[in-house]
Amino acid sequence: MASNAQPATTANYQSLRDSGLPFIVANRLGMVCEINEAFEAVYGWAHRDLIGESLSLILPEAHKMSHQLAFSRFQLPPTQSAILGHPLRLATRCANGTEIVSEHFIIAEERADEWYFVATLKPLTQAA
Amino acid sequence: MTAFRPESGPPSATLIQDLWNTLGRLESALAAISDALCITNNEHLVLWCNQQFEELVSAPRLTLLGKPIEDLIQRLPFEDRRVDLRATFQQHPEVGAIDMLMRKEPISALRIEWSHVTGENPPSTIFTFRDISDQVTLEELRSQQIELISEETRFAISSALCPITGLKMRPSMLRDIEATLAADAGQLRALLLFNVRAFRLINDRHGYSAGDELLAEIARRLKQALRSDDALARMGGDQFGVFAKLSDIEELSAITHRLKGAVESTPFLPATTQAVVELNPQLDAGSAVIRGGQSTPHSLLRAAEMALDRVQRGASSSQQADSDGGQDELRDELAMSSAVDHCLQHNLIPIALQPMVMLETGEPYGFEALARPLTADGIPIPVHRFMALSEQLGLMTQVGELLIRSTFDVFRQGRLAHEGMRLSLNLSPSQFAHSGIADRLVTIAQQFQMPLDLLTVEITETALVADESIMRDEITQLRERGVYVLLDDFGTGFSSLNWIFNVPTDGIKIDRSYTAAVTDPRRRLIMASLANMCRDLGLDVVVEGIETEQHRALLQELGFRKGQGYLFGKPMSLDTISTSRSRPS
Repeated sequence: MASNAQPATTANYQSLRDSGLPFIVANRLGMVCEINEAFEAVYGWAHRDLIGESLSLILPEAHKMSHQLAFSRFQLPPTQSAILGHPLRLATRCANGTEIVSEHFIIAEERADEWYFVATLKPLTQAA
Repeated sequence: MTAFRPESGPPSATLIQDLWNTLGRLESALAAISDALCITNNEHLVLWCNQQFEELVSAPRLTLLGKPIEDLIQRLPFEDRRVDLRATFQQHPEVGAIDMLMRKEPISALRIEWSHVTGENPPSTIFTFRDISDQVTLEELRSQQIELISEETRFAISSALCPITGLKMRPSMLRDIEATLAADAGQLRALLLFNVRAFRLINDRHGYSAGDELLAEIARRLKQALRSDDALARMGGDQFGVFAKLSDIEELSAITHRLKGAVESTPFLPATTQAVVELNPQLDAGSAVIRGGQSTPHSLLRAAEMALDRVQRGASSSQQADSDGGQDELRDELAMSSAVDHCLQHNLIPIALQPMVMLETGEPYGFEALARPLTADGIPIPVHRFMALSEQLGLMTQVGELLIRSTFDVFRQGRLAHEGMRLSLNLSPSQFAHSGIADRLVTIAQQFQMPLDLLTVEITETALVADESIMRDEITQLRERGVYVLLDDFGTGFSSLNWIFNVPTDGIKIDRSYTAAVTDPRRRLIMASLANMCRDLGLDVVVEGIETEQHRALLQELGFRKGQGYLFGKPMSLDTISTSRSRPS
């Protein structure tokens, strides 16, 4: 989980983290900075595989370009996004290359002047 | 686990940030272009598109990624559907253009251009879609498209297979019926027609892609439930046809129920909607029977269509003249849909409260909350149809939650909890289809300061709960938190007694149909047995539909203590309740 060096979490962030669902956090650069044990168990990624790596590692090939462009747009003020704050059905790439369709709930949180993207993932299908 | 530390991150963080900013500006610029743009990989699978392309194909970007672009283009409403775009792209893979007619009057046309991204291997392709309605004439478009129609395409048109469902279509089905009747005169057969209820609204609300997915899924479910001798076709629009062999006329009803059940028993989650949507498909069915040689395929079809038409008009409770039936049905559906939208937009479903009383004194100990939805014009609509349409349109999660919020809000405004009044709330069986309703209900109750020990949840017995264990778990959670749970409309379903033993409830509400017949000695015997059984099992009982003093007296004699009905008060607004309660008794 997050180190003590990180700023205090907000209520929304904490409620997602406490949900018990697979959970992943990326920073403004799109690098993974936190996952939980449920995420490791469901999607097969080890902590060392993802922390500090690009979020695109867990995206299906066909989603990467669109993700990078949409993510880049978030960098420009005013911050707006069609994907935040409501459930989304998206495929997630597992460590073994299979994909699981999952319901993502993503929020953006500003903590100590740094934006974080926090998501819970509820698996909807078996790995395929 | 350890956290990522910025100081140990990649040294090029500034560069990455600069690149993000650059990409962000480029994406904004591409979004501002009036042409629709789409980039695909070398297999023509969508990698990215701009907002104009999303609007062109009426689907959000996330649902388009990884889809073949040919499939998306093919769904556009082209006037001439014979042009084989896939073949055109294959003939000119690197660069090309084609003009497509969308509408003749006034003329509307689209130019599709494509080109490989130079230097990339394998190459991706950029597609551009430009409105050229004011740049071409109808004659120019026609001459261009006639040249493009291949022999293969002409053959495909005559074979008439539905591209969405893979089923035969109406002309093939009619030919098959004709051949069957000619070969096997004397055999009893039926043509069954099924229409998907509220299909237009599903298309409007969730997009044509979701509608197409639903049609494909219904076709799959019907196919699975079909016997080997029966034939299935998509007859057009949202209509499916089954031509079935019958051993006797009684079999028709069984086949209809089996096929309807196969489609309606499980919700369907389309993959092309951006948000998770749970559609509950419902079919209207009409049929006509034939014994070979007595009729033609067309007259059989006409008879089945008329039967279906009668069913649909009955379902939509239209009272209009026959000649206007189809329009009435659409208007009715639109009015229902507008009511759902109206409630969601205004974040409110009007709620009426009906007193629940102690039979001995007639004094209320609580109120049952009943939804009273209105259209945008303020016209009341039947709540069961409002809820059914919400389920069919995949909006039950939002509508169900809004209903809970609206109910708690009314109860808080009336300060009824301060007087120790109970609140009884109806939950739909579909709200128990997935885990989490108990948590949501408790959270909302806390937001509205609704004491859980004054809250009763009424659940209707139904055979349509996909996973009974989820329902049991959720009910157990509610009861552990102090919420009272009653089984509603007891006695109207097929398995009421099973439910008492399988679902952990605190009590039952006896349906009004039993109360109305309590003057009948035999029914009274059943009621007496029910009262004894509930007392022995420690179950609470509320009797519904008490309308006369005679009902009240007979029910009291049988040992019932609680009830509700017009004798004690109709469902009424909070204002009416407040006025009557402030009046000196």
